[in-house]
Amino acid sequence: MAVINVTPLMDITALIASDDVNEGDVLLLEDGIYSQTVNINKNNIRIAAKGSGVIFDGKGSLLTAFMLSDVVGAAIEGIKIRHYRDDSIIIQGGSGNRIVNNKFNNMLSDAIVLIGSSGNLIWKNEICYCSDGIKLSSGSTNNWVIENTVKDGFVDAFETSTSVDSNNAFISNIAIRHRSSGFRISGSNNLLLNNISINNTLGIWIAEGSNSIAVGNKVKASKSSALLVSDEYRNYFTGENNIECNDTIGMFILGDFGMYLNNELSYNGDSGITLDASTIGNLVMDNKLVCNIPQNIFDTGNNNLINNIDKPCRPCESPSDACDNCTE
Amino acid sequence: MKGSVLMAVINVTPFTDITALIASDNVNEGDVLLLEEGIYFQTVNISKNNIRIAAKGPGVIFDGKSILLVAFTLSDVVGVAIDGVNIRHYRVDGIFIEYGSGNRIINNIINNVQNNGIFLLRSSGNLIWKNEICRCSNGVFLTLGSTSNWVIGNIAKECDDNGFETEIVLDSNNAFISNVSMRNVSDGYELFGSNNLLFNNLSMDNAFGIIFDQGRDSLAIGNVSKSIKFGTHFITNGYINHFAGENSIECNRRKGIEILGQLGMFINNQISNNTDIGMELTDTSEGNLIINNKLVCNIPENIVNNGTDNNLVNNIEEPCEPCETPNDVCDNCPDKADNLAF
Repeated sequence: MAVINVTPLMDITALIASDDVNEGDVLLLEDGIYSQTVNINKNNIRIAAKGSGVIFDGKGSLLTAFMLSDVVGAAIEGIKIRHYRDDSIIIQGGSGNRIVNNKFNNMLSDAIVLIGSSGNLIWKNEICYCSDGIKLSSGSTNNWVIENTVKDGFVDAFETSTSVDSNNAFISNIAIRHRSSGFRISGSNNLLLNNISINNTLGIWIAEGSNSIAVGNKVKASKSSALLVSDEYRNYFTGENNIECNDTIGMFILGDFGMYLNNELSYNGDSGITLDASTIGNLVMDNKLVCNIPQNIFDTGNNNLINNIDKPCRPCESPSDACDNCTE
Repeated sequence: MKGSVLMAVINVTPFTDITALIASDNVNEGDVLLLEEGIYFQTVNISKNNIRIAAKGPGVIFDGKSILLVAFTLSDVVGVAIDGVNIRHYRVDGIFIEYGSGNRIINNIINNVQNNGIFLLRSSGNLIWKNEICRCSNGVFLTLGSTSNWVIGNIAKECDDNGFETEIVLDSNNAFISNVSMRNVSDGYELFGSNNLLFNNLSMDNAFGIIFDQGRDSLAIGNVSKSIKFGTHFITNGYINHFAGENSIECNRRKGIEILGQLGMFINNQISNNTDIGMELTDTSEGNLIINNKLVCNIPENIVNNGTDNNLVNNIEEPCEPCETPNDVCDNCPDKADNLAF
């Protein structure tokens, strides 16, 4: 195994493809501006920045910064990526890869895209001014998306785009100021744990599938609903989420047989929890609802509501009073 | 409205045969069985999907009196919930899920069952959240191809064997997040299988800490290991592409991280005041990347690398200060006083 020093003048794709680089080798990148697309076609290649000034700049002409196709155990760590025309990191048919501590800004498409990929780690990346932040598609499963920050994007911050993108975990991420959703989650048994969604058009949108879970998330200042569970979605679970100061509905439930437990919903501008007339078999229990207008809970379906604390606004109080002081 | 049957909340007392009730036409999918406080002496078999069993107050106790085998058995069901129940003195397991998915086991307290607190067999996509398990054999035990389960915010302590375990190589893609494993006789976390995640867990005062055995690609991030007696963070020979990042490994009696595996990544871990080497790469280890770790006052050495072609890059190594030993720091560990109470 070797640690190979790399400069901006080197063709990294060719280097990796050569006999000079073997599985397990580390490419240690010197500070500087790299204008290239890197194709990684060997397993267990680790690309790490030596300092904080390693910049991959597509200059508005290159498509992708890093392409990982059918590889296992590759790592990309500590790199700044900007101005690529397409997605900046694409993992296609990959598994066990590690995308850690990178910074992305100003991509014309998405920052990190997984296509038919499983078991990858996306950890501690910062993404700004891209289309989607982190997008999983075409049967991407069992990926770990942890402690990333995505802000000011043009579509969704975090997305699983089809019903076969299942069993992924989104943990302790932050999504701020996106034109569409903070978290748009299709597929089954995806986990949202301890994430923050602030000032997105829609906070969390659960679409297509069954059995997904949201625990301990915070959703604030959404322009539309904070949490939307789509029609026909079955067995959605939410627990201990904090949903406060959103412009419209706190939780808008169109799905069936879900569980909504110990959530706190306050100061939302178009009811705290709405269960649509089509819903059946949802259990709404032990939630605390405070000063959501016009009402805290609105259920026209066939559901069970147990032991919820339902506090109306105090005289002369409105959500605006509490939310105008919200800080981001 | 989609269904013609109205959802029901059914009050249940200790005198109700809950298994028979669920099997009857009086209970439909989506119904809630709301348990009155009292002592229940029964085994509940749940045979319908989306049945929710919830305690009305903190005094709902299932007591097997060391006669009954299992408190709750979920066979081949989806979307069942068990919430807020105390379980004690069963001869086998507290809660047993077999071929189940999308079930929710929440906020239960399980103590003194003779086998496992919560046992998943060939089950996927279940949520095990905020349960407290004490003095069982294993706390939470997954086996025979249990995959993609979420084990979050649980406490397992004083178990006769392991706090948390995935037993075989087929038990993959499970996540263990923010759990506490304390004072167990064997391992805090013993994980077979691939792509299992350990995130922000605590392992304290167990015989062994975190063990990765048979498989590949599993991850350990942000975990804290303290006061472990033998192997603290152990990667077995043949384990490929393990990832360990930002773990805190402090004041353990033997080695901090012991790497026998291949092609792993160990990044930004803090390893300090361990009393038999901070990080050891054994002679079987190969192709591991050890980068940006901080190792402080581990004795006799911070890092020992006896492996082949491991890459060590930019690690900070601080020896003990003159006259300093790990004991100076670790004797002040807050759990010591806690230990004395037992």
